Amino acid sequence: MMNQSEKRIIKHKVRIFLALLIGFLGMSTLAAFQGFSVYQKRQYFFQSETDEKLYNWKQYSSAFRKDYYTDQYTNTLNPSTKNDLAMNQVLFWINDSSEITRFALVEALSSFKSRDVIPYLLILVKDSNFYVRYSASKALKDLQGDILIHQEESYIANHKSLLGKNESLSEENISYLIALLKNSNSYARSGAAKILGNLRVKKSAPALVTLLEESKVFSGEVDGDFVTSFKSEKIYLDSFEVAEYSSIDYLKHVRESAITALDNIYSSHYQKSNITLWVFDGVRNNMILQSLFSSITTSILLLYVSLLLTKYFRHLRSITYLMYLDCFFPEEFFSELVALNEELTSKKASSHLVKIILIRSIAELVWACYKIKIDNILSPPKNRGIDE
Amino acid sequence: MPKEKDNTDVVRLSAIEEDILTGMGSQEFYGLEILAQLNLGRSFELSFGSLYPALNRLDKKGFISWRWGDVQDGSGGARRKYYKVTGLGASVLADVQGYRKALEQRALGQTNLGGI
Repeated sequence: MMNQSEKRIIKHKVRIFLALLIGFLGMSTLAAFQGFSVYQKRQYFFQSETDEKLYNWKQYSSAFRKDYYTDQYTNTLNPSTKNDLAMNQVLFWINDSSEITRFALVEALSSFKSRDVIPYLLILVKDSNFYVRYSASKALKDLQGDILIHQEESYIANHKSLLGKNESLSEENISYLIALLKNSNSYARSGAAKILGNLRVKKSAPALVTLLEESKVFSGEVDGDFVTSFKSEKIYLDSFEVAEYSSIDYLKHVRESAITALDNIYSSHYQKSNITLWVFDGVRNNMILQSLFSSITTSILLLYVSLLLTKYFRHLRSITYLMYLDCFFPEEFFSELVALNEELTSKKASSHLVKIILIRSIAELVWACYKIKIDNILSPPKNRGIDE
Repeated sequence: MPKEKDNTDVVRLSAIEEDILTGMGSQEFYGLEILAQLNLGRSFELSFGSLYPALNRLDKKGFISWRWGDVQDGSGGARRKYYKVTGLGASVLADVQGYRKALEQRALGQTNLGGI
């Protein structure tokens, strides 16, 4: 059988446990609420999963772009150095029966960024395949070679028909281009990305993002299929050693195409999005800080209020010591609350009124505590009083 | 010169500080008692939020002193802080109130003169 003292101790422990439980539940609710508000903000900024993926992609795209424009790939294929040899080898593909090969050829030629490729593009612009024609036409435009062919009526008609078709690209064509993004030929992937970007096919954005992700931006991984074909068929730059190629990331041109395509698709979206995402970052950081500070302060208040509501005054101070909160709430403030409670109880005030007055007093004392701390920082006390 | 500056600091008393010193007189009070004393018949009630910062200021100026009281039953070990007006506080209050009285008499005198 337990004696009175043991019973009191158990009762005391149960009360402390209950008070802490209420405080904990309150804090959890607060955290959940803050988490939800962050989630809401997130939903506001990222309207879809794709947009969020694009945001992640955007984070490293600037680093990648810098890398791309200074990389070995661009220098290696510089027209002033080894371009002649490279072009002769590439032209081997011009009569290839596979439209994907011819398509890839256009992409390879356009990547040389040389006006020397214009005659070959003029051949390819009359290709039987729509995508080859379109790519060649675009490449010519990029190289300003289209000025030369503007005189040619057939080309103009062809170009006009191309533009007409672009505006009403069928679902089948879109599917074909999206499927091309998974082609083993990197130039086919690059070309498909370019066309989808030029046509602003928003539907292709997820596939383009996947293409970007799979191209492994920072790993420097080489396109395995391309190296294999290079080893076996010895196309492209014959004089180069495989070892040299392995140090070049050929997928960079695919990524660049995909990035350009996404930029085209989301051109208006991104201009707005860049700013909102930047603001979002700031907002998010602030929210983390705010929630941290407000959580601490609010949690302390919540704990006191929960203790008040459960009327476990006797243990308030022991819990205060337990949680090292004494610095926040001075001893005399606590005794004032106890005195106030006694006074109100002696006046036989309703429990509801007692709670309201006590909660208000806590808020006032917290405010007083804050003001005193600020006052003491601005003018430190000279007389510390007599502690008898 | 610095002495003069100190003196002006010491003499400066806000309305609430003056009320507290007047209300306390020569007795010892803890916070809630001071509030009860001051709020009796007052048009707007004082709260802990304004009382404690004022007590802190008076303490810093040396106009009041304090001591810890005994542990109260049911307070879980928390002690009350009892405040008392110091000699300096009483003297400054007497000065301020003396000045007010003189001001009142002067004003009264001028009114009387004006009436003649």
